[in-house]
Amino acid sequence: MASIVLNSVDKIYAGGVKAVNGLNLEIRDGEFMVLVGPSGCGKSTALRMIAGLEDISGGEILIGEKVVNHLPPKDRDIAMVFQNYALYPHMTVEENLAFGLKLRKMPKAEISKRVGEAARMLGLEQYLKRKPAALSGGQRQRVAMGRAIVREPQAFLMDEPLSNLDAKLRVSMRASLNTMHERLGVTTVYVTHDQVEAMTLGDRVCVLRDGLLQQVDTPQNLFDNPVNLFVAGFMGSPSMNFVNAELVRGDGGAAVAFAGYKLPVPDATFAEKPGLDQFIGRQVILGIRPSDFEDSVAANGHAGGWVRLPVRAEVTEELGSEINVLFLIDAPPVQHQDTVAAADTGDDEDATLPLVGDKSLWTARVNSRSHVRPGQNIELVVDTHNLHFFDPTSGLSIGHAGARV
Amino acid sequence: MAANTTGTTSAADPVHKPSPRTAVPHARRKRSRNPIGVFGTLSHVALAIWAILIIGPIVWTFLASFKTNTEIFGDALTLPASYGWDAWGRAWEKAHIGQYMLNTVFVVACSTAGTMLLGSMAAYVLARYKFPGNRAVYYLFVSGMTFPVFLALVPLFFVVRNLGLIDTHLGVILVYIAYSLPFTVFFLSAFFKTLPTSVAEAAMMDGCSHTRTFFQIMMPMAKPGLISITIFNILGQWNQYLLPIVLLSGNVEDKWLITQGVANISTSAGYEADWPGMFAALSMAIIPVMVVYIVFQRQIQSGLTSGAVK
Amino acid sequence: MRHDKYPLKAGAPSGGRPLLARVRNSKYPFIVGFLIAPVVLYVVFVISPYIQAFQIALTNWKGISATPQFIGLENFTRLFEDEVFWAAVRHHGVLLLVVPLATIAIALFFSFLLNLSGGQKGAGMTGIWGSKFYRVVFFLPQVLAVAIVGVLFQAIYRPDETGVINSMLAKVGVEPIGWLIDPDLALWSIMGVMIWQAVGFYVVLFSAGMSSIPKDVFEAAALDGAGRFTLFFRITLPLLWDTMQVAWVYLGIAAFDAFALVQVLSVDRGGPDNATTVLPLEIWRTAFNFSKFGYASAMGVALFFMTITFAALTLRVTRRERIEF
Repeated sequence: MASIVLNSVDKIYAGGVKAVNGLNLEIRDGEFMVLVGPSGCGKSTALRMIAGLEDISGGEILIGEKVVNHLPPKDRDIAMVFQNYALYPHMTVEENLAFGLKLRKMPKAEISKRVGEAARMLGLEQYLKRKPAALSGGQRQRVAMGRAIVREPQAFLMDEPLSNLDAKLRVSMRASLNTMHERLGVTTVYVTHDQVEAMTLGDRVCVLRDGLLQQVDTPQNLFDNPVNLFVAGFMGSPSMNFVNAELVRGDGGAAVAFAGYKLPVPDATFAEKPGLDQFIGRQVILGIRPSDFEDSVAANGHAGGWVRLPVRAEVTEELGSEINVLFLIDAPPVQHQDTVAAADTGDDEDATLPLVGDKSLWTARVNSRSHVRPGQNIELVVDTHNLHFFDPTSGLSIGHAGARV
Repeated sequence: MAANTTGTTSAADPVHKPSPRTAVPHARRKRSRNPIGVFGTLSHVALAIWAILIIGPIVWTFLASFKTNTEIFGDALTLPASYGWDAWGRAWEKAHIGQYMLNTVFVVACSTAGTMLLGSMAAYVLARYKFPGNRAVYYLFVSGMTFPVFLALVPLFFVVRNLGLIDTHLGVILVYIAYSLPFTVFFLSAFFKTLPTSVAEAAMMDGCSHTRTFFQIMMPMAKPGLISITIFNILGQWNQYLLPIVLLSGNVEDKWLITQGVANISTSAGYEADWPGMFAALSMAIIPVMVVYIVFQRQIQSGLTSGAVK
Repeated sequence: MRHDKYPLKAGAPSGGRPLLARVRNSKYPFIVGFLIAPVVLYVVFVISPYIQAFQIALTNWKGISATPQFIGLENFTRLFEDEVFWAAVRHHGVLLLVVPLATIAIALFFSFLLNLSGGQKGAGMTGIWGSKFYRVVFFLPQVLAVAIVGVLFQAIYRPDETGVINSMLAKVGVEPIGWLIDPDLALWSIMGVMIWQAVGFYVVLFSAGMSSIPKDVFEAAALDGAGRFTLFFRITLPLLWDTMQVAWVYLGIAAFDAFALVQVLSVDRGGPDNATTVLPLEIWRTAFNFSKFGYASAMGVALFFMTITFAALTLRVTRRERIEF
């Protein structure tokens, strides 16, 4: 087991396209690190450079404190799980698992012990004599995992290993991946474009965009304190609502005004976000997570510090326990490049309502007890303690520790 | 539409017949497995005539090998009076068909093996590795498919002669390999390109060298393509006529290949008046190819035509 | 935490050599190692003869031991006055016209019968009963060596009533026909054999092309009320265009060959009286019977340009918008 360190790693393709740009990343020993971002952000390239499948154009990669820039993949002592599994079609499951060990001239007894252990762990024992073609997608996926496990490498690299599975299997494989990592404790680098996968699997998550590192943090911190508009818009589903707003100070204290609404900003927020007070009287981009809304009826009781917001529900998406309420607010959609980039690849629910005039479509996630129907007027409450403020010029989160540098 | 559901799957009016897919219930569709209407009958007549045109001459050759000279020059449509293997024995021994056959088996075995080994190696490297000159080498090989062999005939003879390989089997083998490479490389590199990159990468991660990846991972994965093109090469080289008569043109009858021997036997049969022997020789040349064909007809048909469909 | 008891041998600290060189070199020795043998063999036996052919064509090289002299285009001017050469070119013209047309027409007819005239399961795209058998039989001549086919047809075409065809004709009272000895008939008899041998291949080729057309196209047309002939002429044929173009090129190139058949089958190799001769035969004869290597190479160059022109023209003239399924 080992740590993996990337020191200002570049990948420049012929033609000058910079797929990875000055990437600095430290993956600690035993850590589960997820690289996430929209397609083309350089996450797979970064992984393949760690694996040794791509040349490194600049910078340094260290595995276990040893520079591996010029080591071929086989000498880096790492194992990789591929998106399409890449099983050897002419070998049985057993031979697939044993192949890498045989190449390393391991004694037969040790090989069969490791293969047996891995097969037991992954529930593949009864399939050992089969060829990949005779396996289901989920079973193939487990063989691919097994091939990495038997090697007992210093690190696992996984390139979207679950994306070829159907939704249900993906959820259960996610759980078993978590268990497996807990049990083996091997350093893992995991690439995905699915932010839900990133949030549920990663000890830490690294968000990439256009080859540039955006933010590395624990999933919760990414969600609560995104460093900029892109991360804020990319992480979380449905994605964060944005609006151009003005920060004002009136009789009752500070407030943020947009589209005819005025939400008070608690003093605590100013304390948490140093520098926010300098934006008083200036334009900001306000972000509110759909989950920070609630139907005032359903929220009965615990609305301390919550502000009411009367809106008209245009569309409702009932998810069982919750309802997504889509409503229009009377302000033009935020056309910042970062929000556009994040929304581009938002993998689900790009609701397209014909927007009348300059209105933007917002989403609120409310409890299903709300029973709201499309076309109804509804009163939402907002948790004003979780408002997000972004600098409209830089797109950076105001007062974020990572954004000040 | 549903009007025509009676039993007459008549081809009498095929143009206006509604599609039974929509009109006919499932049960009847099964019954219509063998619907011989007027049209069907005519089709069978036409097809059968052509089939007889194909099989007729070949069967006639077999039968003629059992006939006597008088029978052969008599009524062509009679069966032989008796069936004996004398003529076959004569063809095998005196006309050296046995020798030619063994020569050909040896030459074709070596040259096909060589073609497949060298061809797949070159195709693999050209299909899957980026290096300066890759395209140039690829087009060098592929351009060979467009040149007529006759253009090279004279210089080829002298190249082989200067290497001291004229009138030797080694010379024939090397030339067969060289002339089989263009299509083999063209076909196989297209095939190797269709194989998933990630499997080769997985092998590299598992610790395979490039060479081992090729022999242990990619070759087995390319098996369907390799089989097609192997059959293609075996047939092509077995049936080759021009190259042997140029490269084995000296006084080396003991080294001749089967096509050469058979083509020559017709002239010599005329002099020695052993027509049954000639037909026996011809049958012997045809039988092995036919056996191979009938066993592998599926692969042969797809192998020979797949190059054209690409 | 576990430890790998079997550390990678190659993973050990690399010796004195620079790391960079190690990785870069690991790919190229492999590439070179794999390419060297095929490329050398190919260049020596294929490419170099082709190039030399153009040189030799400009010399008066006669006889194995003679020293060739450069004579410019003299071989070609002689060629253009050579009656045998023009006879051969004319024969290629006839072959080029008749063989592809007849073969494609017959092959299309049979593949239509085989694929479209079966029971109308689905939308009329079912093979006729026994279609597999027919396909196997039709394809058979393709696997036989042309030289062997030539010998076979010598017996069939024999000019007296001992020939297979003539003895059958004799039964209905027709005088024996000199299939191969009548100068007006000989080339046609040879073309008959070429077509006989080629049809099966194209039946299989067209059948493969037909089965690669998506079934729902036929189903849609059948629902629109198309019968099996309409289906064939309005749907199948247009969608087979690409395959037919390939067939035309293949057959055309075969028409520039015809060496083995003419050499084995015709009287006096190209006779009677050069009535069936073709360029490859003349090249072979000029070179290896008369040892006129320069002149033979010039013929080879001429043949080369004819073939290339034909292929280029065909691809150009028949080019259409490519249909993607």
